[in-house]
Amino acid sequence: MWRRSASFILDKRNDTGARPDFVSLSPPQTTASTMADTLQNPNAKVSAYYQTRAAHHGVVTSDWLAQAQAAVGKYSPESDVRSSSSAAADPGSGKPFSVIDEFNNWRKQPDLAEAVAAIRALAAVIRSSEATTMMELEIELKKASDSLKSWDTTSISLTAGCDLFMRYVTRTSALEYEDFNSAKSRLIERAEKFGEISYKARRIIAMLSQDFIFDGCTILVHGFSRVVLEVLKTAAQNKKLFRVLCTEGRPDRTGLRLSNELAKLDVPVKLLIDSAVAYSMDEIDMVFVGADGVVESGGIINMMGTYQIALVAHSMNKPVYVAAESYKFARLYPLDQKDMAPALRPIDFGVPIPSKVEVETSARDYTPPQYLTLLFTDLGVLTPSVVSDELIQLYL
Amino acid sequence: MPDVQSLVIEFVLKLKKRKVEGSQATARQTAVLLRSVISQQRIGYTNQAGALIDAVKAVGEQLVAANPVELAVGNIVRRVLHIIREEDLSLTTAAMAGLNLSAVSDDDDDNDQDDHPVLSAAAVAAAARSTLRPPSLQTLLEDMPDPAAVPHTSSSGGDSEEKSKSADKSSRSRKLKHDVIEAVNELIEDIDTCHEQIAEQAVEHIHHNEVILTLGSSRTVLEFLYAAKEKKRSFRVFVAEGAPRYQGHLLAKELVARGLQTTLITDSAVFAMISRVNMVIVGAHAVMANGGVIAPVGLNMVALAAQRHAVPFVVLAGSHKLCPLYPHNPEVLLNELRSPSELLDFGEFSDCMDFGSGSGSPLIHVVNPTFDYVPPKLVSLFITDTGGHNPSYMYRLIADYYSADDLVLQRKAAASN
Amino acid sequence: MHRAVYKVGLQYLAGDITGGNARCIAMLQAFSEAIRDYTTPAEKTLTRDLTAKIGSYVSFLIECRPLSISMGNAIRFLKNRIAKLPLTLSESEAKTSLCLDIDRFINEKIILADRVIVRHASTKIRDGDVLLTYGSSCVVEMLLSHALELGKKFHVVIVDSRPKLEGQSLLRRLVANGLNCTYTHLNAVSYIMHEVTRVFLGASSILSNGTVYSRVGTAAVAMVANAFSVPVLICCEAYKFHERVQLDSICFNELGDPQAVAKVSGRGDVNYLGSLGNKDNLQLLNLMYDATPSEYISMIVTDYGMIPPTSVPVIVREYCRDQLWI
Repeated sequence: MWRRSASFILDKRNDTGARPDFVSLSPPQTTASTMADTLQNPNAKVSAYYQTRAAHHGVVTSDWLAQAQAAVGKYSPESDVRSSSSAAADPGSGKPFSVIDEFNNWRKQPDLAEAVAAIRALAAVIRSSEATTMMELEIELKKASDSLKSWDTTSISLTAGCDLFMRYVTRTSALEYEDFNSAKSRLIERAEKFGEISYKARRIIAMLSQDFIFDGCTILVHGFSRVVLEVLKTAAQNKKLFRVLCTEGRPDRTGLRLSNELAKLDVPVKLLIDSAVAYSMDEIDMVFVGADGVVESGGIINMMGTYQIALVAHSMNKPVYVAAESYKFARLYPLDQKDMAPALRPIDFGVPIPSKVEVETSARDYTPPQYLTLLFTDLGVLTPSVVSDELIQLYL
Repeated sequence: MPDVQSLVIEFVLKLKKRKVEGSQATARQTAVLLRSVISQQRIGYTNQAGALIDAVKAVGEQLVAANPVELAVGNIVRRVLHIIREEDLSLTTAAMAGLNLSAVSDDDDDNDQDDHPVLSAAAVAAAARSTLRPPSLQTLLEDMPDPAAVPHTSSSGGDSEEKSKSADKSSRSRKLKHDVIEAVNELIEDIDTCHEQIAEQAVEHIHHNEVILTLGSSRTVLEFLYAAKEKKRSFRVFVAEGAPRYQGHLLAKELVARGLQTTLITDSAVFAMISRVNMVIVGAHAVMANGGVIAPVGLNMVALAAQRHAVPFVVLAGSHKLCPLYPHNPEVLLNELRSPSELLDFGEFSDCMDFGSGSGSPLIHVVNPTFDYVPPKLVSLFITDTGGHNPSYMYRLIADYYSADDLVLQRKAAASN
Repeated sequence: MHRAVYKVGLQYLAGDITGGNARCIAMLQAFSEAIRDYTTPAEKTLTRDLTAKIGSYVSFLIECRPLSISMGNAIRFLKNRIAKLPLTLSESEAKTSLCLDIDRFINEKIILADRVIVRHASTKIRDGDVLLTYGSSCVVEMLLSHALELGKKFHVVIVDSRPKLEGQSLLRRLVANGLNCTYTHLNAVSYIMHEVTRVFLGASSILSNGTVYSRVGTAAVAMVANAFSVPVLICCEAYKFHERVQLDSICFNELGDPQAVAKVSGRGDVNYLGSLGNKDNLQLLNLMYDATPSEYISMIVTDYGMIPPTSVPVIVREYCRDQLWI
């Protein structure tokens, strides 16, 4: 019989690579997963990206926490992180450097975006590289980025981050720097700075969106998004009077986390179950969502439920605003929902599901551009049509 | 030559009293005023562009504050600022190319790239250009999007220029001002000729025996229709009168005088007639960055009717009407309420309209807005002096005409760093 | 020609009687008077002769102003009654019977129907609502007064348009009742629609495909309301329903005085077309009605209750035929 398992904290302690299993339908035996798994993403049925999201933003119930504490015993969360990073260093000594370990190491940090983790991991590749020419380095990086991308094909920002950095490497080396060492150090330096860029992007987006949040408005948000939280936080700091409706964000209930954060800021919040969106739409002035990835068409790929919210909002003539950093722009072009790599995720229904019953476990959906009003990015406020323009300029 | 300050004050007063009619006239007068501001501005040897930009910005702020609803003012101010930046850039690039490269190496700019000893003039120019452009994915990793870097462009031009022969200095300062004024003159000319430029495209859009519907009056629309008629197209024009100003009557009169087949209808008959119309052609007050249109009141209704009957809704707009801002709550924020007397006869209703006295709020509240907001999805095509464009492509035209740093003219946004 | 009919015709012509119900009632009352004064000529039967007589009255009225669809329905009702008169009745008995029928029609189909409509529609007004109406419809006016009597707190937006500017008289009457009103013109309807929670409109007729045939401009108001997802309620008595269908506003319409378009009353400053006179290439078009597609209409309130526009043919089938013609 399934019951909530505290195994993921144990996982974290035992091996760095295994993804948290805490909403897993699979029995707790998976705790036994080993280091080797990390290299080829053992549980290909489950999206690592969405597992991380759930771990970072999902809401943890108190009884579950108690259970977890009991299981972990003396380990505090800090020591947990430390031990995991030391564990990451271990395989480095044992066998050659692995970009995937490096990446997994970075992505553990809740405040770090996936793309930042990817670029940092690639920077580590440059650092440990023994290449002597730009060409060799490029080939090595290409390999690393390919293995990173194939490790978790479901994470769009991982792919986008890798592509963005690779593009930068090719352009920079070809154009401006003749000296290999200086080029290398510059690449590393820029990569290290990327975390800052990412943070700054969030700030810029928050600033840009302020004009659109007017006093007395009601905003619907879906799930948890760092950028959207930043936007609302800034609005609250600017003494704007607004109300937020949060969806619950099943199955990992990331919406609850957002409503907690907003309540801390004294923003009036109302929680909705995901299916109450259409019911509440007439009191809403605008919809704010984040994005896991922004695709070529200008549409977005985001947490499951975004599409139906956008459809409802569109049919009631409410604006849908997307807050997304520009490094989430990806050269993907899904035509419909099934036209992308599925990102699966186990779902807890609270009761046992008979094995004959099929469960839709996809974690995300695609929202076509015609249902989006504007994108707030660090490149400015954009209409969906600009996304393709930017991507074409970057990659052609 | 008259004093610039008094000229500015005079124009501000005119704007405040809404004495300037139409965005074209406003745009032209703004450009002329800014030209005299520039020509009278004394500039030093260093950071000349910065001085010009500051001067134009200061005047621009006053003008925008005088009539925030007339977006053409802000547009022209931004255009002039963009011109200054571009001219400065082209001069800098030219100067840099002529310089010995090693001389630049000790440039103490805190830009990352400038720390680098081997830096080609082309790279500097590219970097400078990227500050003129809005930030893009390409530059995301290269340079942090840092609005503070902008003054550097101009100052770096000035700094490096100090290292060049002093004989260049005076000639360059004069040259910048000269170039800018030349470019502003071109801008004024563009504004003057935008009607003709737009009208030239009329034949491509109007076919024989078509029925065109328009509402209110716009000089651009008049010229456009007339140009099509000149090219031997025969068609019929339905003119909706455009209450409460009834400019449609004026347009109908002009069209009849020029020999076009014209039918005048009431605004309420637009929905009834639109099923017999082949195309709606209207003018605009301003075009926003998302492709939305601030248009004379009533056009949203026309656009909705056109959409329902799948009739193309074409908006004619000179490029001075392109506004780089995104509208939020445009119905209220970018609108202006006109006098109730245009709708109701005060004499007749004076007993119910006792403002202030007694009960406080009047029993009758008269709403008479000037503008309508037409969302981009209702617009089929924009025809500007540079050709026809989709609403989804408006952002690009705006990127061509304006610098990203000038988008916000009011001071309040200075903290956005 | 009977003088009562003649008088009504002239009143139509001069525009002294407007509004579907008022015109219909005036016509029926004139007919009633004419019937009372009628005597069957020798060698003629009452049924034949009176029908012909009524027919000539009707064509005179059409000369004065085209009939509305509702008036057509009322005339059909009357002719039907005449045709169905039992042959056994004496002339005076027949006349009394017809006058009673006419009175009953006015009472049941118009006056009582209006009361029922008002009662139904007022259940859809909540406190704090902003109600928008266009032009001047007598049912809507009754509805607003009734809701005010019920003590509901609401605000009224009156949208008006040229050339008739009927909204101004409605505004005057509502304000005299103590209602707070906002007055604006049709072009500003998109501006004001943000604040509106309900749109109440009258109708000249409702056709069996659900199209609402009403004062020109109604379609635009309903369209904008629909675009802003504001519910549109049409208040219309069932005797105005008709089994014809219509898709656009051009095929069947009434033309008003073209000069009313050129001349803007009360605005001396707008006189651009005065000097133009009769130029060949200038036409003035003054449509009186337009057809609102049924997709813009949320609800039709009739004396048979609140129905969706798709049920108009049901009403036409079930009630109009039976009750009107028998």
